[in-house]
This record gives sequence, structure tokens and C-alpha cells, in this order.
Amino acid sequence: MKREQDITAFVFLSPNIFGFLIFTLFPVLAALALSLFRWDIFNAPKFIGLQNYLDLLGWVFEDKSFQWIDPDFWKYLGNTIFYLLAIPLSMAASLFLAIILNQKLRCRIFFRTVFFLPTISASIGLLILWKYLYNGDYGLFNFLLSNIGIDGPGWLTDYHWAKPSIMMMMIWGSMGGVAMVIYLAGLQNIPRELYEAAELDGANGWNQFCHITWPMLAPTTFFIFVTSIIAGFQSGFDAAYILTQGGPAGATTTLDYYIYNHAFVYFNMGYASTIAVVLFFIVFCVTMINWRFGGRKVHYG
Amino acid sequence: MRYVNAKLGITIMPIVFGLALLVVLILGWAYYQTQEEQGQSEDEKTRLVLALNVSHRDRPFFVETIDAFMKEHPNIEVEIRNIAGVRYYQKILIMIAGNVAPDLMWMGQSFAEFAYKGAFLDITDRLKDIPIDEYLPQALSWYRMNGRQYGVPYAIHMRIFAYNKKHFDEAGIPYPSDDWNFDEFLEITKKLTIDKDGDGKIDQYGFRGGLHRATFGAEIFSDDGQLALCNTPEMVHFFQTRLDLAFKYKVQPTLEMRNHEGRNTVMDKYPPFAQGRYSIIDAGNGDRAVMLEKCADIDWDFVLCPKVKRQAQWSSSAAIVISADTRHPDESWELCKVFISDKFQKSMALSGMPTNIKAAEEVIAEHRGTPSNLKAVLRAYDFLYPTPRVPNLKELEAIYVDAEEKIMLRMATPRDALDDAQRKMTLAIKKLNERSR
Repeated sequence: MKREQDITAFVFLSPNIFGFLIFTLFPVLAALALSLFRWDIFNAPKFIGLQNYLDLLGWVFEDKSFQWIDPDFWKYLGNTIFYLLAIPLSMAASLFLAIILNQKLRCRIFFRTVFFLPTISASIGLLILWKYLYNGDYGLFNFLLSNIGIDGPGWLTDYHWAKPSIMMMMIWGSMGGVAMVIYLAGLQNIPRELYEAAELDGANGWNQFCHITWPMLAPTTFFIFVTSIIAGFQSGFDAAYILTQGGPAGATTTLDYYIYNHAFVYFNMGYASTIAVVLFFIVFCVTMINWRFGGRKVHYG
Repeated sequence: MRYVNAKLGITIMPIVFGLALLVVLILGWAYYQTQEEQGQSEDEKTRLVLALNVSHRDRPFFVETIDAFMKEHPNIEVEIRNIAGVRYYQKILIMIAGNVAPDLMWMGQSFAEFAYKGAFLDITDRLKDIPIDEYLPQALSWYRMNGRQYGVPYAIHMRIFAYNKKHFDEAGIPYPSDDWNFDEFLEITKKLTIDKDGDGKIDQYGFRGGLHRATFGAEIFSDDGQLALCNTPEMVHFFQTRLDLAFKYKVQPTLEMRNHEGRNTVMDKYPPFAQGRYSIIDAGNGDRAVMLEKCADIDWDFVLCPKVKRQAQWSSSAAIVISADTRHPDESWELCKVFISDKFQKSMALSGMPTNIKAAEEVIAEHRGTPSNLKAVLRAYDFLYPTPRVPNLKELEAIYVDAEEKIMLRMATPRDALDDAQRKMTLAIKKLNERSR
């Protein structure tokens, strides 16, 4: 009987297991292996050991010694981390929207749908829309600013404005998305009795939020934070590809776009794999740190 | 406790295996189709696939030419795959790597990247079929590697200038001549830069766009592609002059201001010129069709770049080359010859000047209307030499473009940015050499 159960379980799991093995584990292992090779797709891969890693991190073996140069990797890692700053803002906005939409408002289903729309809309269309909004000459933002006598910046073309502009767009795109829905579910799981008891004790709305809502949402917040950080390290590609081509002067190039360029523009598959592996370890380490230190402060139930 | 129903699981097993079998069958069918596509078609005609990267304006010329070719060669069927856009080369590289290379393909500035990978059929011995001496040697040399010829371009594109005649008339300045020098250019642009409404903002700039580095004698790397030349005195002079035009003389907008108008693409750069925002603009003879459409409301003309060291810069060229993997080299060459012919080159003259000098002269002689100085394009032939060929042009150019943006956005001085680019490019060339060994 036990064996039958095992077989049955395996049969049910097999589509997922095969899918995972073929489409996830194999590419991950292949990337790990390829990072040790020099490969341009056309010619046979050549084993070069850790050379790609040294190049990526900035160490070059010249004149019989290692010399450090400033590779682009660190700059693009900095850009990627900069975009992570959008996560707390986006989460705060998601929570705010979830609280509003959790009230007994008229048309709240309609508003929930409206706020979720950016998540289910084609990102290309949204990005092109933002491109027009941000246009320096005839974009909506600069038009509005010009009405109050302000000469608007080149949102996507100015080195200092490009990153914050894309960050604003990211916040807009994610505030009403999955995080909002998860927060809504979290809010609906908080027992009403807690709020009723607090009201009897004379607690105002802010106190209720600080002492009931926020602590009770801690597991939800932690989950959203961890998954957002993981996704955040892999973000920025769409915006760089469609809006800025990584410019101006590399200001909006993220590690994802950097990988794409090396893999499919320069055909340095080995080097692209190296960046992907390093990114994987960064995400892995950051997630471990989150679990180790963030997880402690979360109270379940 | 039993979590699953064993009977149900056993019932599902055949379904799972059935699905797996279906996947195998679909993959097998797809593979068979791919093989079928590559070979003879059902009615035993030789089937050639031609990959193009041409605009909607040029496509009809190709379709017409191919239709005529198929009528002449009823045993050959040609399928066009137009992969127009900036990702053309990338898609072709992936097709070649995936062993589904087209028989013939459009090729331009990325020729060397493909040629180093052995992607093209050597046509050196077949050149006896055409009057090769009639072709522009510089254009031919771009498609030559290690003494072997891999293509004959049907068009060449050069960077020169275009100007708005009305602005010159309004300012009482005579139209520029092809032998003007840089000082004259600067004086003219100063006169043509005007704040029309007196609000302190310039409404009409004398110049828009980049000067061309080759006209200053600057290049990114040496002819053999082995030496980075990013920080030569010519290159520093070139960038300092560009900065001066924008920030010292203020006769052209800064890069930030210019970027407001979009990327520096053909579709973005000509509308502001047509709107009268600029008097002189860097232009290309290959953009003539776009300019005639976008700048139809103004009277404009071509002029050579002002004299510094050269008066034009090689921009790009276009050829149809044959894949090294084609199963039909003879039929492909027959088709290729059609695109090399005078007739085809002349039909494409709006998008690029013929590389056949006789055909180019005929185009100039037969030309009427705008631009009246089309012969400037022919004169530009004297100043042309192709960009050095390196195996990974895009990777190296990205370093240069990064430095260019830093300089023009004034994030670094020309000397600092170019020294940094020189160091990075030297290292990149070394890596590329290691990679190709």
C-alpha cells in the first residue's frame, strides 16, 4: 500500500518535477558550468576557470600581478540596489490602498479592479505610455510643470533624473498589484474582535493600526518584503530595454539588462552566465539575511 | 492517513505518458518541418530564404526584383523574411547558431562580426561574373576579409550635412558650398542661432547633431582593430569642439536638450529640422527618402561637412550576402547578382547611393528636385574609408558611446572620459583576442 501511495504521489508531482528539472534546475546548473567557460555560441566553449569572475569583479592579471580596474558590474549593481529603494515605498502604498479598499466603500470591487489593472496589462504598452508622459518636450509632466512656471527636467534623459523616474514608474506599477491583494487578504484575516476591544478601550484609528493591524500583518509584510527583494534584484530590464536602452551613460542599466547585453548582443554567454551566477548568490545571501534577522521579529498568530 | 487515491493515480499514469508521447510527436513534426523548409519544396523547386532588414519603403523594390527573378528562374522559389529593426543582427546570429540560417541575408555594419564567425560563403571566385572594377573600392573592401570577398554592397550611406535654405535666406547668408571650412561653419551657425521672441530661450539653433569624428581624423581603433585610439589628440579635439558648440558658442542644443526630442534616430531627428528648429543638421544620404517625406514642407539641401581633415564619414552600407551553410550556393549567387546589378542599385538610390560608380553617376545626372546638391554625396566618396573591422564591434562601440555620453552630459572632461575608455577598450580588445584564439 505504501508503495502504491508513493507511485501515486510521484505521478501527481511528475509534471512539476520534470518541468522543474528541465526548465529550472538544468538551466541553473548549465549557467553555473558556463560561467567557467568562454563561449560565443558559434565556437566550442573554452574552459577558463574563474577568469570570468575575476573580470566581473574587476581583477585583471597583467604584468605578472593582479590589478584592479573599475568594471561596469559595480555600477550596475549600484543601479539595481537603488531600484530596491522603491520596495518600502511601494509596500507602504500597497498597504495604504489595501486599508482603503478594505473599508465598506461603494464600488470597492471596481476600485480593486482598477488598482490591479497595471499588473495584468501588457508592460510594453504601459512603458510606452510612460515614455510619452516623461517626454521632455510634449510629455504631460513637463506640460503641467510648465503651467506653473517650472522648466521640467529630462525625466529619462538626464543622468540624475533617469533612475528616480523609473523608480516612480515601478512604484506606480506595483502599488496596486499582488502586494495589495495579499495585504487585503491579510487584513481580512485579522479578527474583528481585536478592533472592537480596542475601541472599547478608547483606542483611535492610528493606535489601532499601530497596535493591531501592523503587528498582525507582520507575516504578510515579511513575505511581501522577501519576495519583493528577490524580484527587485531581477528588475529594471523592461524599462531599460524599452525606455532608455540602459542610458544615459549607463544610469538605468541593471544587472538584468547587463546580462541580456552580454548574452544576446555581445554573445558572451560565459560572461553573462557569470553575472547571473553572481546575481543568484547575492539574492540568495540577502534572502538568507532577511530570514535570519527579519524572520525573528515576525509573530505568527 | 492516505492523502491520495491510488486508483486515481494509476488512472492518470497513462494520461501523463500519453501527454509525453504527444510532446515527442509534436517535437518530431516540428523538426521534420524545419528540415523540409531548408530543402526542396513540395513541387521540387529550389527554395531560398532571404532575410532582410529593410524599411516598408524599400521592401516593394525587393519584392518586385524577386518576383522578376522567380519568373526568370521558374525552378527557384524565394521566401522573404523581413526582420526589420534594431535587433536584426541579433536574430540572424541566433538563426545561424540554431542551424536555421537563411540562404541569403541582408548585411551592413555588422559584417565583420559575422565574417569572423565564418558565417558567409566566399564569393571571390564568382566575381568574374560581374564588372567588379566598376564598384567603389572602399565599399568593396568592407566586405573583404583575409583577401577573400564575401559580398558586394548595393548601397552606401555617408554622413554629411543638410541645411534649411529659408533660414539662410532670412539671415542674408549665402548657401554653404562644399568647400567650406570649420571656421566658416562656426560663423554661420552663430548667425543662424536666434532667440526669436526675446524670452531668453533660443528658438532656432544653427546646428543640431554630432559632428562626425572621421572628419576630425579621429577613429575609435586602428585599421586592423588591434589598437584602441580613444584618447588621441584628434579625438580629444573632436569632443572639445562638440562641447564648445553646445556650451561655449551655444549654437547647438546640449545633449540633454536634444534628448528631449527622443533618441537620435532617423524618425526623431528630422521632424524638428522640418519645424525650423535647426538650420543645419547632420544627415545621411541613406535618409533621403525619410527626409523627403518628413521635410516636405521646407526647402533643404545637402552640403559636405566643413573641412577639418575629411568632409564626410562612412556611415554604413548594405549588401546581400550568402550564408556559408546554404545548400544552394549556385542558385543563391544567381539571386545575389540581381541585387548587385545597376538596375537594382539605381532603384534603391533613395535609401543609399549605388556602389557601382557608373550607376551612381547616372543617378546624379538623372536627379531633379530636392536636394539640388545631390552630387555632394558623390563627392563624399573621395573622403570615405570604412570603419575598421573588429570581431565584436558592438561591445567595443558600447565603451565609446558610454564615454561620449559622459562627456556630452559633462559628467567627465574629454581627457578623463577618453583615457578611461582607452583603458577599457585596450583591455576589451585583449579579451576579444583571447576569445578568438
